[in-house]
Amino acid sequence: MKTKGIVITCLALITGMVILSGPVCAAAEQKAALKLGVNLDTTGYAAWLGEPELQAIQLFAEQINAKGGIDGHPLELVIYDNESNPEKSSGIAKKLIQRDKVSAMIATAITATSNAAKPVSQEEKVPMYSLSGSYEPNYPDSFSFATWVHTSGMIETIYDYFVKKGIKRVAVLCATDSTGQTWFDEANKAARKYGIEIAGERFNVKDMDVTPQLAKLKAGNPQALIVGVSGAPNAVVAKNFNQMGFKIPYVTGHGNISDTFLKLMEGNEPDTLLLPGAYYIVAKELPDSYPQKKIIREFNEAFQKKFKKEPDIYAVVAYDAARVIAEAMKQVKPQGPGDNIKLRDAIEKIRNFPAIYGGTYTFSKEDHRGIKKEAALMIQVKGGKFVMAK
Amino acid sequence: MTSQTVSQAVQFIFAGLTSGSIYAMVALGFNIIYNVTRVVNLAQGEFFMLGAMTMISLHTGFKLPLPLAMFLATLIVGCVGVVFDRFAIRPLKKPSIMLLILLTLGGSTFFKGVALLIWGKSPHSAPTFMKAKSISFLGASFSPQILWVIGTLALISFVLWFFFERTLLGKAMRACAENPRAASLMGVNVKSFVTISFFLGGAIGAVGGMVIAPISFMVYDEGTMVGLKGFASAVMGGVGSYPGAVVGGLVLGLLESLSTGYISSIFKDILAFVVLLVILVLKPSGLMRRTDDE
Repeated sequence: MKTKGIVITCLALITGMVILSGPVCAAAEQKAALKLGVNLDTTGYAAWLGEPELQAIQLFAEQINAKGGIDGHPLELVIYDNESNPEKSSGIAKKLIQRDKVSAMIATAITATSNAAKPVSQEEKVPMYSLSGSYEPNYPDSFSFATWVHTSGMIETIYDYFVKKGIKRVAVLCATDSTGQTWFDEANKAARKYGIEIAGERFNVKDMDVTPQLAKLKAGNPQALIVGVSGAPNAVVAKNFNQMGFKIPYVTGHGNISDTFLKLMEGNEPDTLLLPGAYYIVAKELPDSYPQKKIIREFNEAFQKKFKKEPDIYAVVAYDAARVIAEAMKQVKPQGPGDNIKLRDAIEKIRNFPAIYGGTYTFSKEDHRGIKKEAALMIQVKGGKFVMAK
Repeated sequence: MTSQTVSQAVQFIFAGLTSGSIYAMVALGFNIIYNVTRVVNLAQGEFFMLGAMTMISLHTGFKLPLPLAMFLATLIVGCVGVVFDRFAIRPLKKPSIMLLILLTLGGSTFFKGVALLIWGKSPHSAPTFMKAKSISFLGASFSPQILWVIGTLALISFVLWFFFERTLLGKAMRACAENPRAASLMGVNVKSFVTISFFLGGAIGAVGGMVIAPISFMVYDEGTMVGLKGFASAVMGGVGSYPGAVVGGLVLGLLESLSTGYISSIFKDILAFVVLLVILVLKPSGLMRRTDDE
C-alpha cells in the first residue's frame, strides 16, 4: 500500500512538472495569431536576467493585444525556460520552430544559451533575437539579431573614458564562460587601438576566491581593473579586491546594471565602481529635450503598474526586441514557413526606430544589432544609485 | 621584486587554504555518513548551502545575534540531515548502492528546489564575523574571515578526533563503521548511530557554508560545485579517512590556487582534477589510507 502511495505521488509530481514546463499560451482567436517564441533563462544562474526580460515581453504582448494586436492579428507568445543551460536552449529552439511553428524567437539572456540556439535558427531560417550584449549576430546570411550596444562598443566607451582620465595600464579579470571570453578578447583587441597596456587573468564563475588572480595582476601595478563577468561572481571579486587593498577604479560589464547588482555589492563597493551603460539608466538626469524621454517614461509607468516594481535595463532590451519584431511583423504578418525569411528582411529595413534603451535602431544586412556606441556612456555607482560618471 | 614574489606566494597559499578548508569540511561530513552507513551522500554540498542560507536568514532576517544564528543553523541543518535519512534513505527495504546514490542525488535536487523557493534566485551574502576590513601578512592582504575558515576546520578536526578516539560514543560509532553486525551484537544501537552520523554530516557541512558565506556569496545552487570538490577531496584523501578528508581538501585547494597563480587561471579546475587522477592511479586507496585497512 505504502509503495503504491509513493508511486502515485511521484506520478502526480512528474505530471505537474510536465504541465508547468510546457508552453504557456495566451491569445484570443480572431485573425490568425502571429507566433513569437520566447526561449529565456528564467531559472538557473542567469535567472536574474531572464525573469525581468520575460515580464517585459509579456507586458508588451498584453499591451499590443489590448490595442487590437498587430493590424488585427493577436501576438501569441510561446514561452519556455532554458534553465540557463545551453543544451536545453538548443532543444527549446528546435521545439519552438518545429512543433510550435513560431515565426521568430526571442532567445536568450546570455551568450552561452544564445550560441546554442543559433545553429537551429540558422538551419531553419527563423530569426532569433538575442538579449545578450556579448552575442555576435553579424555574420554572412545571419538570422540572428541582438540587443545592446556590442561589448566592443562598450569597451570603447570604457577606453574613451580611460583616455580622458589618463589611464594607460589596465588589468583585466574575466570569467571563463562565454561572456567572459568575449570581454577578454574585445578588451585585448581594442587596447591596441587605444595604446592601452593590458594584463589579463581568468576565473571560474563558481570560484569562491580570486585572490591568486588579483595578486598576479597587482604585480603589474595597474591603474584600473576591468572585471568581465555578469552577476553574482562580481561580489566575490569585489570582496577580494577590497581585502587586498586595491584603490584603483573597478570597472565591470554593462550586464551588471540592475538593482540586484547594487544589492549584491552593498557593503563591498570599491571606492570607484564604474560600468558602461545605456542612456536609459540615467534617464532621470537627461534633459526633456532628449528625444526618447517620452517613450521611456511611458514604458516605466506601464511596467511599474503591472509588476509593482521599477523595470531594469534587461526589461528594456527585451521590450525593445519585442517592439522591433512587432514592427517587422506589421510589414510581413508571417503565417507560413517561408515568411520567416521575409520577416528577417523586414527587420533589416527598419530605420531610426526610437530605442527605449537610448539612441535609435537602424538595421541593415551587415548590422543586425542596429545600435551603436552613441547610445552608451560611462555610469558610476554612487550611494547605491547609478549616475552619470564625471 | 623578491618581496613581491613572497607576498604573491603567501596570497596564493592562503587562498588555497581557504577553499581547501571548505572542501575538507564537506569531505569530513561526507566521510562521517559514508563510514557509518556506506551511503555516498551526493547531497552533502546542499548541506553546505543550507547552512549558509539558514544562518543568513536568521541573522539578517530574524535579527538574531550571529553566534546564536550560527548555532541554530547548525542544529537545523543537522536535523535536515536526520530527516533526510529517516524519510528518504531508511524506508528503503533493499538498499543497493546504485539506488542510494540516485536517492541522494534526488535529495540534492530537492534541497536545491526548496532553497530556490525559500531564498529565491538572487545571491545572498553574510557580514564578516569581525569588523576589521583586511589584515596584512608578509605583504599579502586578506579578509580576517579566512582565519575563521581555517580555524574552524582545525577546531572541527580536533573535536572529531576527540569524539572518535576518546569518547565511548565515538568508539561505538567507529565500531558501527567497522562491522555493524558485530557492533549490534555487542549492544550498540546501530540505527541511532546512523541518525547521529546524518546529524553530524549535515552540521559539519552547514558550518562550512556559514564560515565561507561572508567571503563568498550564496545562491541556491552553490552547493553543487562545492559538493563535487568535497567529494573529490574525500576520494583523494581516501574515502572514509578523516585525516584523509582534511589533507585531501587542503591539497585540492592549494593545487587550485597555486596552479592559478603559477601556471594559468584558465586551467585551474582541469589541473586540480588531473592531479587527482594521477594520485588515484598511483595510489588508488587515496593519500591517507593504508591499503591494509581494507
